[in-house]
Amino acid sequence: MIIGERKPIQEVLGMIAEHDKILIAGCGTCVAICMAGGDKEVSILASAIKLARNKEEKSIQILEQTPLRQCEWEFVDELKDKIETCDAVLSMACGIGVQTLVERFPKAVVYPAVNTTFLGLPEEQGVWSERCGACGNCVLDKTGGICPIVRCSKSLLNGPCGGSQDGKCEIDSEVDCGWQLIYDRLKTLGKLDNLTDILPAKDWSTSRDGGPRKMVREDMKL
Amino acid sequence: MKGDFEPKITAFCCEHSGLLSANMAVESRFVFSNDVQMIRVPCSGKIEAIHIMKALEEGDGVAVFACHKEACQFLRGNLRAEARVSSIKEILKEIGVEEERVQMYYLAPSNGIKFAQLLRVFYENLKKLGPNVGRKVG
Amino acid sequence: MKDKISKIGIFIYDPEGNLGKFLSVEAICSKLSGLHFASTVSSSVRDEGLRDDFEEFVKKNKLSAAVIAGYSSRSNEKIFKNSFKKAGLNPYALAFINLGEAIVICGKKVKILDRAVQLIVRAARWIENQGPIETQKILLNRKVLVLGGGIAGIETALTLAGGGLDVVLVEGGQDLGGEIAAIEGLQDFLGDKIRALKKEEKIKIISSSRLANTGGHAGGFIVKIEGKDESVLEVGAIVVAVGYESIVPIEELGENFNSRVIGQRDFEKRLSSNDVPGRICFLTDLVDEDLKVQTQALLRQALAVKKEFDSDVICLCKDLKVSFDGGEELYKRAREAGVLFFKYVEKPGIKVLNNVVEVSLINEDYPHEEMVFEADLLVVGEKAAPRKGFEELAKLLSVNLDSNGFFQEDNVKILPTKSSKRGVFFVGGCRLPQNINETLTEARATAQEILSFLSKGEIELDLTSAKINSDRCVLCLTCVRTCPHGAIVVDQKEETAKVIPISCQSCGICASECPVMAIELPLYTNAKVMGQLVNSMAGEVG
Repeated sequence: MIIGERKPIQEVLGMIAEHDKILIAGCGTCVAICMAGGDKEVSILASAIKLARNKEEKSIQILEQTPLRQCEWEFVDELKDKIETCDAVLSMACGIGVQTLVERFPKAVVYPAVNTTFLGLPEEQGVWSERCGACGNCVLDKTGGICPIVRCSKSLLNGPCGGSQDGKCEIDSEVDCGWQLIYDRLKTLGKLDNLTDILPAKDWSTSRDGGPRKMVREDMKL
Repeated sequence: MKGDFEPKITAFCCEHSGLLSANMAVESRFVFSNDVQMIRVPCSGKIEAIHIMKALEEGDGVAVFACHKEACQFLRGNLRAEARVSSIKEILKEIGVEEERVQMYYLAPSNGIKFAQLLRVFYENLKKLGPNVGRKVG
Repeated sequence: MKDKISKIGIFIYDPEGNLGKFLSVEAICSKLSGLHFASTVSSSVRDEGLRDDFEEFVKKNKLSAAVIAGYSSRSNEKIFKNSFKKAGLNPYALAFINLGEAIVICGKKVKILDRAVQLIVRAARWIENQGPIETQKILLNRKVLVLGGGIAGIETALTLAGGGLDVVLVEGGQDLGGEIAAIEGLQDFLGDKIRALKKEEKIKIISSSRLANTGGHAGGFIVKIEGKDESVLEVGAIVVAVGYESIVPIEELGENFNSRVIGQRDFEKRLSSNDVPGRICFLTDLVDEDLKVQTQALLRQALAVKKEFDSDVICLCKDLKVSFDGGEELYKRAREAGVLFFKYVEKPGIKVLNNVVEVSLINEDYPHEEMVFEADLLVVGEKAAPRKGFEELAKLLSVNLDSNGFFQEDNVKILPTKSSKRGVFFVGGCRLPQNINETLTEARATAQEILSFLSKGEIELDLTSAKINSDRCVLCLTCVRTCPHGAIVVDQKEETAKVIPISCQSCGICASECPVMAIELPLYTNAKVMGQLVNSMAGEVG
């Protein structure tokens, strides 16, 4: 799922400095589950902003609502009335949610209160780590299920760079060397031969470098 | 002006330590000369961050009375409470409100004296800090 | 938004007139009526008088909730709760406050009278948001699963069966008896117990088997036993009595571990086969443990050797933990029989040369001289360690292990055999290695607890347990992971997390962790807590 982290409060305060009536819109899916922008975080941010603004003696009125997903037209429509009465919207959803609001409500001023960071999973309660780079051309079948794009710091496709120590990446001793993981995994599967297949230089056009991506399923369109 | 200031304190008391001690303190007639609003919870782990922050919007300080670290009846309630108090302190630092206004205190049950003492200490600290600038204006 | 309770009454009682010294109760009542609360004062000293006054007050004003304000906080709660129940009202819609708080916790700016009224109004606010509490009758299965055929399991099973419950006892090995089977002096005792166990019709013994899977909850656990056969059964409670491992502390001994240096358990075998040499040295406390088992075995074995074989016996210990039943007596008898005891502080040096064991140490009383003991055999106290399968078993049962890897009890002071999961108990060495008398006591106490829980075959629960709103639940699994009692499970069909009422202990941790605020504790709802924080007291009291 998408992982995000709330922006520093000072940064958020800077964004809304000129406004005195705002809506904080959370999202009940990804960012709620990684404790960044769900109902709870919305109410905590609202309270923190009130405290900060009371301190500056510049009061502010804050409305709060958290639709189930901020990336669905039908769900963000639920926010219509509140958006119309507010000067600005502080979205705690991922970048997608912010832009959904802007496209649905072109006159609204929407600020992001969350930094969308990566696609990952909860390793344990409270710890999330990156697993997928959305590169558009998955090679997990060749690497035993471990992603070389994201788990190797250099996104190498054909083996380690040689800079690892004790299975840890040279950039940070807490980070596993992705290729060490791939090697170990292929060894367990008895498929070390996979490593002799050379993957060609990656065509990054299926990833970000190809421009904004779109998927159209004609068979799904109404 | 500061001499007149009477801090408004909200005290969250866990039923297995804080509340018992508070009742004992009251029955033993330990006199507090401060105004304290006590809210009972079954376990300090039940206290949500938003409750503490709302209490700060309305008052000058929030004290959380919980059981000692390894003595939580429900294993990890007081550890969760501590984690929440820490993250609220971080938020307070970010917005420029004194982080000492939220404090966690650990107690054994039926320790009325300790309860009164800790409350007194908190009260004195708040008096030194003065009124909460984050409180509602007007 | 739930409806608030509209008719709340304030019942003040002050039998000894203590309140009256500081407050005018009439003044309180008149302020309260100004705020539209029905209020009354009772000076009845007798319980019956209080009850009658209260019931009349409730009926006259058609109340559905009440704040009871007395001088002491704990007295008489039952009277009021029962009166409410009798009248078909919700006994949880009662708040009890101690007006003594008004007298002691008082700001310089607030008058005692205003403070008292403030306390009452806040209590009224607390309960006006109290919703009804349902009750649920749950059927309880009257069978108990006991894991482990050692003395702990055997005694528990016998006591349970004696009380009328059916028991299934599962033993991992082939024979019953566990660790004490090796102790010669306990053979008869154990033999009697095993015979009684086998004769008891209510007890079914399954050997060479283990617990493979569990589901369900207290009163209705579904357990799968695997071994020679596979069986699935429903039980009301599970007792874990799987014992512990004794490991000779090889690391602490160094490289001198050979046939001249053995553990207490191995020595037990040599004792029963009369293979005892002329000079024996016993050494305990190589490992720092807070347990008495090493000392107990030491004293017993040393005394047995002296009595039956008249060998030279020397005991080297750091600590003599004799605080168990009969411990002091054992020590006295050992001394009288001629066993010598020496205390060491730092680890002794051990050497084996030409079939002679040499132990050298600094004795606390004679620190300037090293003492060297020679013996034919060195018997070392073993370290108590958790068995290999503990972690897996703990996960299966959703219970916790302590920092040493043994099963963690919920509360050391209140029936320490209870786990944090309702219906699961730990008896004997798997929780705390201890001597046999302590284990027997534990086993019987646990059996009694289970008997009083399961005997009626059903239980009526007040549903004060956490409630999950399935519409809001996104199955993030946070509550399932954080619940300390294993009381929350995933309901795949309804696509929600679900709280099991009988296992829930209403701590509220799940409610505060839930990222989408889908969980509420009926007695501590968000509305109730937030209602306490609203700062409109000043306006209300006037």
